[in-house]
Amino acid sequence: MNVLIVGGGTAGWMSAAALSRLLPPRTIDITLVESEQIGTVGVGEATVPHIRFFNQRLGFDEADFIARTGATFKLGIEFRDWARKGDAYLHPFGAYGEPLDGVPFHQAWLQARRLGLAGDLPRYSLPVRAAAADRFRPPDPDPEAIGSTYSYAYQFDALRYAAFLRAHAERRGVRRVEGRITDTELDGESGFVTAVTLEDGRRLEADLFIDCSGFRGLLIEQALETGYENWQHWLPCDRAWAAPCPADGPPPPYTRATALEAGWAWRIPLQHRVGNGHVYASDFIDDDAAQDALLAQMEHPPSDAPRQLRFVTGKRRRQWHRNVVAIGLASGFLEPLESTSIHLIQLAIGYLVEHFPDPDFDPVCAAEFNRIMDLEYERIRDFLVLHYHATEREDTAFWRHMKHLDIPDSLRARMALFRERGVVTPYRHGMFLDASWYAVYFGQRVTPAAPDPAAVGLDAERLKTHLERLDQGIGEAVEAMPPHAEYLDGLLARPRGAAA
Amino acid sequence: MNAPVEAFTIAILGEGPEAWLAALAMARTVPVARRPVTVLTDPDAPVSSPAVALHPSVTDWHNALRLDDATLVNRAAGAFSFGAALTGWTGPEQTWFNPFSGFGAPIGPVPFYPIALKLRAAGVPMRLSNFSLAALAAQTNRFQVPDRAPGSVLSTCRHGLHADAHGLAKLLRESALAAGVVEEQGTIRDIEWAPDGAVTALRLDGDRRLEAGLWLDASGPAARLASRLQANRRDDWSGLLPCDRRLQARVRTVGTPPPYRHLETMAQGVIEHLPLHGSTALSAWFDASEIDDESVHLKVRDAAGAERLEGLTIEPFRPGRAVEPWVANCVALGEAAMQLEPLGPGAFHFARTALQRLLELMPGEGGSEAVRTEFNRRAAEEQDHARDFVLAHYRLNARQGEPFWDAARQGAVTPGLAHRREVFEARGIVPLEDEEPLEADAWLNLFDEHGLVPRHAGPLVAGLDLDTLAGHAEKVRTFMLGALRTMPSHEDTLLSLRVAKGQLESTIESVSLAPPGRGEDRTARK
Ligand SMILES: Cc1cc2nc3c(=O)[nH]c(=O)nc-3n(C[C@H](O)[C@H](O)[C@H](O)COP(=O)(O)OP(=O)(O)OC[C@H]3O[C@@H](n4cnc5c(N)ncnc54)[C@H](O)[C@@H]3O)c2cc1C
Ligand SMILES: Cc1cc2nc3c(=O)[nH]c(=O)nc-3n(C[C@H](O)[C@H](O)[C@H](O)COP(=O)(O)OP(=O)(O)OC[C@H]3O[C@@H](n4cnc5c(N)ncnc54)[C@H](O)[C@@H]3O)c2cc1C
Repeated sequence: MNVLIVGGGTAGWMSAAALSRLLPPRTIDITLVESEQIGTVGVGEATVPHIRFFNQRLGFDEADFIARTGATFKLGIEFRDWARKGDAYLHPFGAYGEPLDGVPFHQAWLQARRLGLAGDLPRYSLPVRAAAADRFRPPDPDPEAIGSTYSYAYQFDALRYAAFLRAHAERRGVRRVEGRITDTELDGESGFVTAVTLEDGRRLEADLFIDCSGFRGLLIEQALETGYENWQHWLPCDRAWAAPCPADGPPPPYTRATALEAGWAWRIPLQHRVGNGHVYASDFIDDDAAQDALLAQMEHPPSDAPRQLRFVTGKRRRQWHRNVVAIGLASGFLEPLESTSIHLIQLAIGYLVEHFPDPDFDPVCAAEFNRIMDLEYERIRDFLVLHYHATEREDTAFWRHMKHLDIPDSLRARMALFRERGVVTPYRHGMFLDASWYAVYFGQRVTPAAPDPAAVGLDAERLKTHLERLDQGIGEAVEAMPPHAEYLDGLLARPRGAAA
Repeated sequence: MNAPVEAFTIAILGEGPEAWLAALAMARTVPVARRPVTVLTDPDAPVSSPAVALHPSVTDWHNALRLDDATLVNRAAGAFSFGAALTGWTGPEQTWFNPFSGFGAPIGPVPFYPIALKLRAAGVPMRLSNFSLAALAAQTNRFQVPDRAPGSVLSTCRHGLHADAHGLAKLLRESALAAGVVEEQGTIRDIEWAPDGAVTALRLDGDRRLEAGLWLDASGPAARLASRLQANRRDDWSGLLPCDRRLQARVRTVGTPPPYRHLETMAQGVIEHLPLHGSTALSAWFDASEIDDESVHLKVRDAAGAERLEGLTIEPFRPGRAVEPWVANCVALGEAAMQLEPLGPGAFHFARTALQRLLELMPGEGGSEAVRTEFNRRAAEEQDHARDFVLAHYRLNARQGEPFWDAARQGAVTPGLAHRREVFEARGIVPLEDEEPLEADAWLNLFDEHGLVPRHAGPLVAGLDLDTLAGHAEKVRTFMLGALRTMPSHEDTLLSLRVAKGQLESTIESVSLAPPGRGEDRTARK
């Protein structure tokens, strides 16, 4: 089967690298076409832990990857000023505490707090305390050890990651074509895309087209007119200013997301620079004010001129339509508040492999792929809306709007359940586990009316000992971790294994 | 210490294992001193099922209840199970086996099923259950409690257990009473309602009154309390599933029980053999418009190879579920919430998952609005999946030329089942949703044995040549046969547990065959 990947951004090269690795050689022939003239979106630097499994399956050496992409380690995201100005919490890659007698930790903690026996929730999270101390080390492989109770991700330079993936994919036989696509041919009967034509007249045919052309959705939308489900009424931010700057001191092992007056600003620390950006709602703030707000909170003046990006939050009605599968920004957009876009690329690749088309393009495979991707998209959407909606802020029109928003029913039911009894129902498909929901709920002042009755039944002495033991164990584990910068330097100084 | 006292007391209706399991689970999570638990048993209640099948996850749950396999073997005539053998569904005299656990082993990222499909397409006979240690063991009457050591072949198996319902109820009752649960005997005369529709108290015979804040109805299909809550509508499945009557009985047996249950078809329904120590519990589900009670009685007797059936009951069976098992402050559990032939997990299993959900969602001081909605949503999802699993057996049956089975093949298919079948037939995979009562392999095996053939085996297996695949299959099989050879017989395993208890004969409860205080054939009709 001939596969043409349209686009050479993160989505295009991740797809090329993964498909050439995962699909049996000789069964497919992959070509990727990209246009230097158009370029890539160039942002997308913060990730979630799943990226490590992606890298592992592709056989990447971690130290080599870190060195080539300017990457740093990430233990979570720090949210500032979300529920109230002055608030700060970290959404860690790891659960709080440990259950006691079968009672979930957060329930036991709620009870302990009522009895005046507990410290703040973040005390009982190793990644939160390690991040606060700017320390990092990979988790302990012994699952019994307290040092195993977290995971981690990376912050990297998107352009370098694409180049890294490109080198890998080309070694595995992916053919790269440089050129701008100006035309698309459809089969008169089936409506399938049969070929694309480049500016210089070259014609590229394929059986399967993977549309990684970014926001424009060259094939999925411009050619096939698949349609778009607009979610701006729930997530009104529609623009961003992005600008890098030099770092002020060693990189902390986390990303920061600071709520501003009509949106929020990211700070992503890399080895060689800091990525900054301001995601905002143009209905509530104009472009100049938004740029000023970005620059005002940066530690240094930008090292490159700020770039503006525009987007429409939502997703394609079908991510896979006929013989076109959209991956990356071509498939939809969810703002980078929880660093989810690259993960969605990874998920799409995994589900595409599982439902990879046969020569007849069984429509059931496409339908099933779309069903699962829709669930993933909707559940991330709900989680993002939660960040804005769970607020007490009414200081600007934007925050008043978000606080009183008519949220999706699925989120309303989830929030009601948490407020009433502190329960988060797990999903089968849905990247954020219960621990993430707890982190944002508690971090944004959504607290249950009362703990689990089983927690109320716990013996107070046992509860106290349990919390003290955790607190102390975590304290010792953090103490034993090296500073993030030191760990990073050690890794970079090591002789590197060749990239696989 | 001035921790707040619980908002309510709990009353549980029922006398079978579901009711006592509920009582024990409640008392174990919050001490009864804080939250009293009463079980209201009715001496005139109809007999519950003679035996229960504990699905594998039930045995995982032992720990929380401080029960173990050995106790159940000794005190509830327990016998182990690796799954179900099904006869007559896929063709005359055909038997297939659906183990609790999965099949084969993957090659890296390539799952076993596409491997089997590709080999089969090349003419190699591949039956999934031949690559299941549990199925192989069941066939040869071997049984060993699976370990959890990663990498061991035995750890690929999962086991369940069959128990005498009376013995199990007694065991759970003892533990519950020891944990402070109070038993009250009585018949409901009247219900006292709060203005919001909640039940505040029951008036019982002898001018007694029972108050509670939360009611759990585990009184079986009669749903003594739940059926009285007006809003408790039923989703009726009689248009989908053909059987509307159930026979239950048991026969004495000698020798070691086989380590599986058996579900065989008859011309107008299904017979289940659930082996226990010293007896086999028999159930039959049938269509009363096709066959009368007496004929079913004879058929079951013959199927059991017995001279007579003991403890025979025949009663109406109404497939369906409560639209909302939790209404106001009353939660229906087990057959009070749903009736469904146990071609997959049975009523006791669903009582157990409902309890687990209830513990997770137990109302606290914050109220019960959201937890109730969530409980009902999740229960509905799980129960509809369970129904679809049962429905698939009927719709895909291969008994030709008999009105009951021909009609069962024809009927409507739910969207959930249609979707699963469609994806299976396209790709040989089974989509799973959030609240699944069964693993994907149970569905795969069902579809496969019933002759559905995926159009395509997926892209990954295409990269592996036949020699590699055949070598892999051979290796898996050899590995399993090796493990099988060293596996003790079911008999030896049962004996070792009895001996381990150290009190061989003395503590084994003699399980009375007829339910206490009850004549035979009470509800049989001609
Ligand atoms: C403000 C912002 C911040 C973000 N932050 C994060 C983050 O922190 N974490 C995260 O995971 N994600 C983030 N994302 C998302 C992330 O940037 C993208 O998911 C990722 O970069 C993938 O982009 P892409 O490859 O789909 O598209 P692009 O990078 O836009 O690539 C499109 C490709 O298509 C090619 N192309 C387009 N048209 C043609 C044509 N006519 N002919 C030939 N080639 C063509 C282009 O040349 C290019 O190679 C962010 C996005 C935005 C907008
Ligand atoms: C507890 C229990 C466990 C059982 N476990 C198994 C088991 O693990 N494996 C098993 O085969 N039978 C199992 N059976 C079924 C029983 O052994 C069958 O009666 C027996 O396999 C039928 O063999 P047969 O030669 O009479 O006829 P057939 O069923 O016609 O079989 C002939 C051959 O074809 C193969 N075959 C049958 N159906 C298929 C199929 N759908 N796809 C590919 N090959 C097929 C069989 O393995 C056999 O080699 C089990 C039965 C019980 C009671």
